[in-house]
Amino acid sequence: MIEIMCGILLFISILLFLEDNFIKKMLGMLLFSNTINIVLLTCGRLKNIRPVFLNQPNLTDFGNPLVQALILTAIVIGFGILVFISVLIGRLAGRGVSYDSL
Amino acid sequence: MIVSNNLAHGAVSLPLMMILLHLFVEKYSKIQRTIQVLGALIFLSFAICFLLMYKAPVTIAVSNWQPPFAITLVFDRLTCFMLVVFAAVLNCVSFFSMGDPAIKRKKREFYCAFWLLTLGMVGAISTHDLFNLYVWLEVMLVSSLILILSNHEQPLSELFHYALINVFGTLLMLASIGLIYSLTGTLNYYEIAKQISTLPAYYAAPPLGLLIFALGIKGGIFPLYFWLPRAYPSTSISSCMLMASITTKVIMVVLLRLVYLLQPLQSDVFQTLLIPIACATMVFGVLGAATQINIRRILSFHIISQLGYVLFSIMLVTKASLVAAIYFLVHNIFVKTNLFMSCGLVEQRYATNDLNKLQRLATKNNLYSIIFFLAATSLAGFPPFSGFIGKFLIISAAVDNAFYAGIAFMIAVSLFTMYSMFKIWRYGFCEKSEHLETVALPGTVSRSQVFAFIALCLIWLSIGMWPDPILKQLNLVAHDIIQLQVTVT
Repeated sequence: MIEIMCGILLFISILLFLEDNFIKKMLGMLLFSNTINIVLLTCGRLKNIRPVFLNQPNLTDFGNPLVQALILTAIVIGFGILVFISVLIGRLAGRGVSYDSL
Repeated sequence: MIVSNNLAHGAVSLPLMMILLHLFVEKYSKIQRTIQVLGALIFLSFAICFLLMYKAPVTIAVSNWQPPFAITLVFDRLTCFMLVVFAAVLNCVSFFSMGDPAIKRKKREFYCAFWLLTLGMVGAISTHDLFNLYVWLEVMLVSSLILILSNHEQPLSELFHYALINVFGTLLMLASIGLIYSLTGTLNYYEIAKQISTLPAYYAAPPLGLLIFALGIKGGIFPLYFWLPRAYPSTSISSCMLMASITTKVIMVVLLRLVYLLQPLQSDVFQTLLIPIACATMVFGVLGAATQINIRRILSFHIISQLGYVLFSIMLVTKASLVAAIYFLVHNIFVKTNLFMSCGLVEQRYATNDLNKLQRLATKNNLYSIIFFLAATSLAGFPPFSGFIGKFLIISAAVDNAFYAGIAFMIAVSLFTMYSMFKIWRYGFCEKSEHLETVALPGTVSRSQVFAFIALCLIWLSIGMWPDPILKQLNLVAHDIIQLQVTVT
């Protein structure tokens, strides 16, 4: 189920990417990065969902903590670049560039 | 061993320290300059000591977590060798940037981004963890964004284009890293190599193909390379040189390491797929250059075509082609940076780089003209210089593997390279046009720039005229890489 949802989201984000308007391009990038994060989450297997704690006596069926760390890093980096790009769009608008002319 | 270990830590932490120092010394331009020169020289001396004292690979396990489970930075012979090359070119760029008028008001941003790029470079070529590679490439991306901005007129729409395409590339790379992790359960290069060679090809090929495609976007390989000639000519010449000599080349080193480590990438599927892509990269780069009349645009398109040669040589997957690929990469780093420097000097003196507005530069600037001519002939591949040796090595490696179509492409592309180099030479340096007068702006070239220009020229002349020591070193590098693949899998 989640794979089909990822496919649909990827489709929408690529469509947005191909738009001329660069606000839509940025939104496409945002959606794309979030979809990739979900893909990363599914890569760690979704069957086992119990959280990991160190002092649990018999630890079975725990969720994969590594993908969560990867996603956290990816979100931080992606958010930084997103902020940069939105400031860039603001500056471009300040110069009088119309949103459709890129 | 202890000394090498300390040098490895130094190579990572020196750029970080330099970023911090540069944040504080903005107002004192003399101190800023001294710190920059000293830092770059110390970095170079670290790299040279490291290569001379090299005995075995130095592994830094981050926070002492042992290899298969955590991030490792491994300084093997390839890393040490490339560190020396990159440090040499960084020194030259650092000297050149002292007198660059385009970044005069943005010195602090420029130098911080300079060291951030260096940090990303050291990390990306030394890391042995796929996700960590992604992080270092993002560090390099962010620093390139700052570098493009450190120009007195800021090219915002080119920057937007650059940022978007590169972010697209890194996100695809992230997806492929996730898929590889789900296949092998690890992110360490050696473990991945071990696990993935046991998997059937139809499992291993798609994520690896996605990884190569994503690295190709970031490195300017054929289908999506248009961001490169669009972004590079719009920044200051120092930033342009830095990005041209570091970012795409680091991607090539990473590709080389992955191809020689992961067995599925050496299979026929990838060879039949990537060798035509390499040929297309060469051809489209050089055809793009043929239509341009702006010197910097011509040179930027040629970067792409040269990357095609390197990719072609990497994908032949023999020891000889490995040596050829690294030699050609090194030659290209030095010669291309030198050509960009001469273009920058022309821009500084005449305030333009349009071939229609320049004439008879050779009569007024003898030294620059001679160096430009030598570098251009070296890039086109004329005998006594490094370009000839690089192309000769690649062609002889291709003859061994009987890739004759690829050789035909290489020779045709060399002819076109010669055509556009001589286009610059003829219209910019020799021919006189009746209706315009090129006037030099007085006293704009500083002594440090001339020094960097000549030093870089001497470096590539020496690796071309006297290639024995570097080829001996490269044979050792190739031997290590091929041995490593055998021991790991």
